[in-house]
This record gives sequence, C-alpha cells and structure tokens, in this order.
Amino acid sequence: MIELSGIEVYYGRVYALKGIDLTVNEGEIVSLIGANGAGKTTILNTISGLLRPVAGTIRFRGEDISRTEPHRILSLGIAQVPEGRNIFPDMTVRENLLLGAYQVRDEHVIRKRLEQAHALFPRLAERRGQLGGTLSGGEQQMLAICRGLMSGPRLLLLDEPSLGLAPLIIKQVVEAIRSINAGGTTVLLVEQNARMALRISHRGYVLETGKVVLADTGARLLENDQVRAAYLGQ
Amino acid sequence: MELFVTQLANGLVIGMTYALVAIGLTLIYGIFHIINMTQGSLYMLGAYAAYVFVSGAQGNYFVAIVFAMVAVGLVGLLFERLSVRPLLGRNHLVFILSTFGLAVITDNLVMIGFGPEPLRLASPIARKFINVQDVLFLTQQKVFLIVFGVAMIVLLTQFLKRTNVGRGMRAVATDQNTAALMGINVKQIYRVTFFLGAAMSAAAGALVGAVFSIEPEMGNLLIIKSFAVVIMGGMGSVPGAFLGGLILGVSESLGGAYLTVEYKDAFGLIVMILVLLLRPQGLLGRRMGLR
Ligand SMILES: Nc1ncnc2c1ncn2[C@@H]1O[C@H](COP(=O)(O)OP(=O)(O)OP(=O)(O)O)[C@@H](O)[C@H]1O
Ligand SMILES: [Mg+2]
Repeated sequence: MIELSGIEVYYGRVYALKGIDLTVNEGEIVSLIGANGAGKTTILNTISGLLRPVAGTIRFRGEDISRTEPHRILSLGIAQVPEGRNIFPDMTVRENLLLGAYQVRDEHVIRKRLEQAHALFPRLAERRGQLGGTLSGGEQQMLAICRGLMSGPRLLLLDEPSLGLAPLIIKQVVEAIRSINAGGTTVLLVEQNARMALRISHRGYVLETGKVVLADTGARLLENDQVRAAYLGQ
Repeated sequence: MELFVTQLANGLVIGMTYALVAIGLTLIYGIFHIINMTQGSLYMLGAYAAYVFVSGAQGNYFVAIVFAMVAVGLVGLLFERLSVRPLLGRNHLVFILSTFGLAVITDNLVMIGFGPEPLRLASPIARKFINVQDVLFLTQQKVFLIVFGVAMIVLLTQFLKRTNVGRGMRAVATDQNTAALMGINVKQIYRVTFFLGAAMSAAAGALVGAVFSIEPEMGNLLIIKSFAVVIMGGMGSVPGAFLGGLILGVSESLGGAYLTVEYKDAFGLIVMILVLLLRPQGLLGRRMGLR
C-alpha cells in the first residue's frame, strides 16, 4: 500500500533519515520502534508531507507522493495522529472532530463518522461540548485518534499513542487500534512501548539513528535478542 | 447634552472605521503573526474603487460598496502574493518592510492616477439627516456606516465560529502543522484571510469616504491608529479590535470637543497607554492565537 525507498531527510544540517526503506501492505498493522531521536516522527511527518525528502521516493497506491502537499496527501487517504496529540485547546471536542473531517463535504458521512467515534470511545460523546484543552491526557489521545479517523483514511499513522497514559487507558487504546484495523484501515504505529506495539503488529521495523536496523514479523522481533536487550529491558 | 450626544455619535463613526481596518490587521496577525502594513492603502483603495464605480461608471453607491469590497479583496490577494508569499519562512519582521514598501508604491500610483487633491465620493444619503428628539442630528450616511460596520463584524465572527473554513482559520492560528495534517490547505487559508482583511478595510474606505473626502494618503495615519487599536484590543482578537476601535474613536471625538481639538490625535494614544498599563495583554487579548 505504501512503500518508502531510500528516503533521506535533513533538518537544516542535521541528517535525520539516512535512506529509509519501509513497506506497509494493505490491511496490516506495522510498528516502528526505536530510541528517542531515532527518526520515527520524522518518517511519519515525511509521509504526511510536512517534510520534504532530499532523496528517495514514497509510493502510495502506486502514486509518488514524496513531493505532494499535506492536504493532498490527506485527501489520498493518509491521516496522522501526531505525537503529543496536538488537540486544538480552544476548540470543543466536537469542533476538533469536525476539523478532522475538514475535507468531507457530505453531512451524512460526517454524522456517521461522529457516531463511530462516539462508539469507539463513549467518553468523547459525554464531553462533546468541552474544550479540548481541558481534557485529561487519555481523553485527548482518544480524541486525537478519532479526529484522525474523521477523514476516513485508508492508512492511519499513529505517533506514540500510549505516551504518558495509565495501563488501563493503554489497554483501551490498544483495543481501539485493533478494531480500527479490523474495520479495514491499515495502521503504521510508532511506539516507545515496544512490547505492546510488537504484540499487536503483523510486522515491525527497528530504527536506529535514521536507519532501519531490523525488519521482521512482530512475533519474531519479540524473540530477537537484540530487541529484547535494547527495547524490552530483558 | 446635544454636543455630547453628537460627539459620541461622531466618535462611533470614526471608531467603526478604525475597527474595520484593525480587524484586517488583527486577523492576519492572529493567524500568521504577520503585520500587514498595506491595510491603510487597502482602505484608501476601497474609497477610490467606490469613487470610480459611482463617478466613472455612474453606478449606484450601495452597489459600489460591494464592488469595492470584492475588487479590493482581490487586490489583497495580489498583495499577499507579492509581499508575503515569497518571504514565507523568514523572520516575521521582514513582512513589515515588504508590506510597507508595497503600501508606499500603491499610494503613489493612486496619486499619479488621480492626483493629490481630495475628491468627493457621492452618496445619496450623505446630506439626508436623521433627527432624534431634537438632541441628535446625524446624516443617514453616518448611521448607515455604523449599521453596516456592525453587520460586517457580526458576519465575520459568525463565519469564524461556525463555518468549516472559519474553523480552519482558527486551527491554522493555533498550529499550522497540525492544521495541515487535518487536510487544511494552509495557502488557501492565507488567501481567504488576506481577502477578508482587504474587503473589511475597503468597506471602511467606501463608507467613510462619503462622509469626508478621499485622497491618496488617507490611509497613512489610519494604519498607525488601527495598529494602536489592535494592540489595545488584544493582538489577534476580532471583538477586541471592534471594542478598541470604538473606544479610540469616541475618546478622540469627546477629547476634541471638550478639551482641545489640536491634540485630538493624541487622546486616543493616551487612552491606549492607559489601557495597556492596566491590561498589558490588551482588553480582550490572551497570549496568542485568534478569537
Ligand atoms: N525541527 C527539528 N530541527 C532540527 N532537528 C530536528 C528537528 N526535529 C527533529 N530533529 C532531529 O532529528 C532526529 C530525529 O527526530 P525524531 O523526532 O524523528 O525522533 P523520534 O524517533 O520521533 O524520537 P522520540 O521518540 O523522542 O519522539 C533527532 O536527532 C532530532 O534531534
Ligand atoms: Mg517522535
């Protein structure tokens, strides 16, 4: 569904991605793990069009999107739930969700997706009139995920959805990711919580300082000695 | 009593003019953190566009206002393309220079085209009076200006609050990257914002141009005062620009009537300083963003 080949990205003089090859097939959950500063967020922002690679291509459903603008990339079917959620704090829960559906013109579709969001996290339905900035961290993450789904994406990019959440909330988020995937949405998941991510993923990539160092199925990566030592604390 | 009421009404007329120009400034600052110095020239162009429509094309004055808003709105798009787009990503201070330069060029082009002497923009209601209880005499033009200005501001705030594009503008004001991830075309938001800002200024020019006279440099002092209004109301706050404009207009008008006319332009700035001493963030301002 999406294929990155030889992607290189700079921030000014900082060489952040040093030739990334990565594929996500339709229907998969693929996770991307790595230490702080490895370049995970950079990969997602490059896919979303916020950053321009200096070399390499990104093909999404056959089309090269490495030079496409962010709003066009969203309309092709790629949505991102950014690191730190980036909820619009002065807008209500409902307004945040409507922003996720910015390009959707059909009122019926918007209403249906709002209902789906409320079904996925009933907590959001109770808080639809509350300002985004006053939500708890867990609620903000739920809102960010639902906002990302409002455009009806084929591919959902999730950047550290478990960050700073209590175990019980993480469980809910994991369930939500599974059910989103079961509903037909392909997922590329960036996580620090490697155990959780690899357990629910079909495949995974391990990233170190801008390079892919390991790529395998989720189950095999969980068994891998290198991964166990570096990311699972064993 | 009569003097007071009349001066109050005149202050509201001037204040509404400040408010309309300041709204363009505050919108553009609130969303993009750009200070658009062409706002005074756009106000002047609004007056001249209406003049051309009425005197040149023998058009109806009220249609001329709409014509001026649309035509100058398009000029606003052109100005964005010329003085903002090529410099995006630079330090925000460069926009003060680039837009100021464009404003000087614009004023001089109009001076070449129309001459420096004042012209009269004719309105059918400029010499019709309204008499309220023998206390308040006011031309219908002034009443119309206030009503039209209030309507514009109400429409704009509702647009920002309720429409999809208005929501998009608020989102871009808060966080451009996240807004882009929502599928918002940020360049399009630039265009919409500069169009709206220009159209608001043009409306002010077309309205107040029929109260006084019009001349190529009519926007020069106005941009400075509108800037004071924006600071006083709170940078980025539309209701703040409205309130600040009215306060400035009324204090100038009352100060001019009861204290001394020579220092009329100073009273407004004194009021601004007093407001900022009490509320450094402005009347309705918070730290950042668009309201
Ligand atoms: N805006 C920026 N300007 C300069 N360097 C940056 C910028 N953003 C990221 N970097 C650098 O690029 C590298 C990759 O950063 P990135 O945010 O992609 O890491 P990450 O894997 O997402 O880390 P984390 O797990 O902490 O979120 C880091 O060395 C970082 O310092
Ligand atoms: Mg990151």
